[in-house]
Amino acid sequence: MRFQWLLSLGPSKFLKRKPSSAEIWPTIGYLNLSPFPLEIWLEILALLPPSSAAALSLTCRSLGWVSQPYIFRHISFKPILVPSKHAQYIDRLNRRLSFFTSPRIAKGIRECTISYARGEKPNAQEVPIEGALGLIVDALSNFPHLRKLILRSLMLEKRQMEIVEGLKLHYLEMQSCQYRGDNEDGDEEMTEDLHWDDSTTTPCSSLRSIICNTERRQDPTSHLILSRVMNPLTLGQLIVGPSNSDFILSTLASSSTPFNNILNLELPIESMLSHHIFSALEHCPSVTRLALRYYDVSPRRRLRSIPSHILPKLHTYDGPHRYATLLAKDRCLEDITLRTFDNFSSMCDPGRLCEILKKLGKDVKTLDLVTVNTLSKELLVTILMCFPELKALSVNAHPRMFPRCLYPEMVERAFEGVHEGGEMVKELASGHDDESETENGGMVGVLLGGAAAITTPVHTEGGGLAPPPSLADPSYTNPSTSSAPVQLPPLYKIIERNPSIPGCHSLTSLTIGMQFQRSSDSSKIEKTVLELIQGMRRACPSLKKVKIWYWKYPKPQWIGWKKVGEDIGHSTSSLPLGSGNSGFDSHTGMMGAGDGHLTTKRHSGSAISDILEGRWRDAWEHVEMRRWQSRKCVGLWKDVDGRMDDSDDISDSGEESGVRIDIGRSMNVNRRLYRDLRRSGGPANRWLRRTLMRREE
Amino acid sequence: MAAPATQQIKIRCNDEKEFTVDRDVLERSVLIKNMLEDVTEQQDAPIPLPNVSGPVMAKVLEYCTHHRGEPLPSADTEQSQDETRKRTTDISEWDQKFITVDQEMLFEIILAANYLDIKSLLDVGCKTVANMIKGKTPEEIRKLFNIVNDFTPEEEAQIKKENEWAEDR
Repeated sequence: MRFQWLLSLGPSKFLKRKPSSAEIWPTIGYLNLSPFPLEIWLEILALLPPSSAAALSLTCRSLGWVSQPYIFRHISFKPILVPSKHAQYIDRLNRRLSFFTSPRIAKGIRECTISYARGEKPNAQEVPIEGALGLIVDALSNFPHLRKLILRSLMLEKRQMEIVEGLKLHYLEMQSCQYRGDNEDGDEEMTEDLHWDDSTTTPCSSLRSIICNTERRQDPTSHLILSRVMNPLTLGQLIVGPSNSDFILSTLASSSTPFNNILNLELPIESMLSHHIFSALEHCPSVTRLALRYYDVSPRRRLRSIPSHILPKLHTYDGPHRYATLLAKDRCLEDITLRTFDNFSSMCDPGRLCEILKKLGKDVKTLDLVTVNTLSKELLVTILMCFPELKALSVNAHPRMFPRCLYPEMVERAFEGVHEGGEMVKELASGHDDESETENGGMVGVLLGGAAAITTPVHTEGGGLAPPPSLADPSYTNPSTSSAPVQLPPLYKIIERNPSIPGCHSLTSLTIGMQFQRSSDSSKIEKTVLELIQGMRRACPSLKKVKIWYWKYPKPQWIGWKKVGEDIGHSTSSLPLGSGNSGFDSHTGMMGAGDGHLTTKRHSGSAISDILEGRWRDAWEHVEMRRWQSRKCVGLWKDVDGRMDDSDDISDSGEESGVRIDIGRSMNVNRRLYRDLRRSGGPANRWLRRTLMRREE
Repeated sequence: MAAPATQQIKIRCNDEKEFTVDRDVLERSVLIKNMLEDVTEQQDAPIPLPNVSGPVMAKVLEYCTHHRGEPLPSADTEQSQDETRKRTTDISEWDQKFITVDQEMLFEIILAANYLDIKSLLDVGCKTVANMIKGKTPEEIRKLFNIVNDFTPEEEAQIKKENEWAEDR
């Protein structure tokens, strides 16, 4: 089947023009793009990484013609090298730019990054190549569909700024860029001029997003360009650093037209003390997300109040807790991320953090506590009680904050095996109804009373987690009570008796960052996490997704569990868990188990081997693994030896013995995998052998 | 059932196979939706769909039935879509299962989704094909789509050379 498509068809307008530079393309009379028409190929190409577009471009002439521009959708330049390589770079740059500016390629370019940033291993001898930046910036105006420009650590001249200003960008990012005016103090003058001239300037740009986070110690990025490109009618996102914040706030405040489209606003935290702040925010009435960022120093003062009419539509906040409580007074904050900027913040103290949380209103649906030092049971119960509609909770769930991650036993204590003082038991067992009727916070008060009596953990039978003494957090050891601990029921039992803890019935997603001892091997970690997740599921029956982050050299990894929707129709009730690592460049795969499944990122080959090597045999009742990336599919089923005592009915989950392996139709079984599969098959598994034999043929 | 009876629409595929489907299911297809909006009076004659075969239509209807009631993607401009639409190849679990069909059927579904203008199904199909292409060599891709290599060695070398301009060095 052949499709002869008019070259002007579809969104690829660039096909209309006959290429002048390329030699082979004029010989193409028609495009033979079987099996798909052009518009579908363009859809597919938009989803492919440049490497795959490059592979596609080498398949045949028609596809080469269509896919080559997609290799150059995003171009990048880093003109900073050791001086001996400068001449060579400039020579290649000239030829490269002349290829980019050929009409067929130029029209496909959407994004451009120019950076002087040296990266992780800076070489002091590397210096910016003279003249290169000018050549690149000059070429930018030849790319008619360039929409996103990222400039990093550049020193830009006035003329270059003017070129940038003239581009029809939607997204402009200027990270740590400096501006070199015609004279040394040109900056100052220009700032003044433009500031007062602003009402008469008509912004011609249609920028939707400006990111300009220059740190304070650097010179401010040109105010000239900022004031001209801030178009109140189009700007939707504004992210500013300290050196520009004053200027931008005054621009916002003095604009005759309100910036009605700005939804996302990020400011340095100290700008909240600027005298323009309220009038600036008044001009951004639609902002739904506000983030206050910390750059170099914590401000010594802070606002005491924020007028209620400011930011009326705000529902997402990210920043220090002080402003969270101020903003929550008059607004319905639904999505809150609390960060601390130093080790002395209230967030480090669970007791004080509880007090903060109580002031955040009852509308919170997503709560992300970025750097909590301890997750105590009182903190957990406070969270679950304060926010009856809480759907997602994250605690230290950012791998970059790894040193702040929690120890597993701390988490387990919070979720179940806790021994506490008798006060709390009595209150929970008897008078809870009265407490809960008055106010949700009432119960929390009671729980706070019991907090001091939390002792070292004594694990319940079957929990099996005996942490090394070195891991025990000293803040939890209370010698006076640890001698005679009062046995308390686990959290799930408390919840059963106290349906007034509403968060337990709404929470669907939980993410926690954890620290494991360096020496811990993977199977131990998996076992620990598995037990923790069981405890969490008992505590919060509504949970659908649990993810545990931890650091394992050289990358952060995670283990997670996800409940599979009813529509999948898994009949076996089993212990659902999964594991993965976060190789950012690796393929996306999915793993599943009974009523739960896990989405993970890892190479399927290693995952399969992990399972086959028996690392998960104790834990997994039913493992199903698919790798969709290349349409490979493997499923493993394994029956359980009954060691996992869980409320789930595992014992009669099936009568198979051994491992059953289901290989997807187009599974590409390599030699190693094949060997592993055979080895784990066992004599009982005729089905497997049949499958493998079929493969072998 | 107390629910109001939904209008049933008949369609006829190119192999004379006919389907009677709830109107809201069929309206996942923008093509048919627009067609139905243009026709004011009730018609008994089935809508002819000359570009879709019966088995493919059955599969497409399975998709439409599962996703009935979901909001249709708004017809945004191309540019804003480029920015806002997440360019990932993640596919939801049900869709993943649904699209696990043989290659011929997959391609037919994509062509049908394109013809019937069912954006979300087209997306799922294109993502699946994109996932198939990812990580493959040109030769493997040719095999996948039965593509005949019509390059001369010189042309191939030239494209390879041009593709190297992507690197900054």
